[in-house]
Amino acid sequence: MKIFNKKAEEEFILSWWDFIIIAFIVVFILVGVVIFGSSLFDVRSKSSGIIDAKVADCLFDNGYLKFDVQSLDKSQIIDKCSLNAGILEANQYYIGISFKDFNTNNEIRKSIELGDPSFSVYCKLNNEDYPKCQEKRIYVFGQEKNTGSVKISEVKEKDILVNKQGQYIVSSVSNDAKVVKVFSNSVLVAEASPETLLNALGFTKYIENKEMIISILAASNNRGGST
Amino acid sequence: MKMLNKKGISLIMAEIAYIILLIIIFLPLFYKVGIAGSSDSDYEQMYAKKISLIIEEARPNTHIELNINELLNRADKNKYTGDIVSIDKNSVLVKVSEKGGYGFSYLSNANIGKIENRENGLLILDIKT
Repeated sequence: MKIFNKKAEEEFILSWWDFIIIAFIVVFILVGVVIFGSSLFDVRSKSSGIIDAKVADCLFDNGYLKFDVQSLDKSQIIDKCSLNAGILEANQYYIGISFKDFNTNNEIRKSIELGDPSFSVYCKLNNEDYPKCQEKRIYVFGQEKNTGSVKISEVKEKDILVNKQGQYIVSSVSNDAKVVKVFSNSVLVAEASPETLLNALGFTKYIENKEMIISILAASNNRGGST
Repeated sequence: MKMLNKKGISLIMAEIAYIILLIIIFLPLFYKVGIAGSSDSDYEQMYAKKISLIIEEARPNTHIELNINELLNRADKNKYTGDIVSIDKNSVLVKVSEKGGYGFSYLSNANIGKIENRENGLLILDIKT
């Protein structure tokens, strides 16, 4: 396209190329502003990170699961983590908790899911329109077996022995399983053979602590809205 | 001093026309870029999300003071005297004018006490269990 007079045309020509370059710059700037603006206000990823940390905080204490792994359920999580069930049901959030044995990597129990379960699928896909997800994998000790009969010969490190005086954490077991060290509140209570310990301290209960990996996946698709 | 000939004048005119054309295209564009993210609705959205995330992350028995001078100035400019920040049914609503407002929900079930201290430009939140 030539819009100037013939003399000017020889030196200065506003061609289609000029318009294409200008249009390209304009579009580039506008797209940049839109992308930057939308990412600036998009807090879904931050929100799911906060929820992830919050759930982890209410489930664990000093590397131990606060609840019995088999009986833990949705209502306990909603209650203990102080979550609003109504908002969870409004399909803007998702929390998924899975439990795996650290040594075998097998599922210890069925996953617990709160909110919209379809979010767990979207989390695997990378798309701006899908919910934003954050996942934590935490190595913890969980109270899996809680038995009244003390099988002292099967005692492992981090297990808990209970008698009338309280709970004792097994700190270490010698390689030949002949010496067991038992601590209470970080103080060495006894160091003896399992049989001696059983008789002397009168353990009545044995809690086997299982090493497990708990994955907490939190997803948010909460974008808010103008009223 | 040598005067420009007709061809020279024509070339200068062409250059000026080209520059004017660029200004016509880019001035509104730069204005749009300059004001991006600073309209009333942008501020409502920004503060609604900010306050919701603060509530979401807060532990029980937390006292929070948030500077909301920018919102107060905008509300004054729009002659809006109502509640700037409302918290109801797990949702934060921020308004700086009679029309509009932006709402953002949060998942936490905490009870929240809210005071808008307009003199000091502070929003005071007490997060309870």
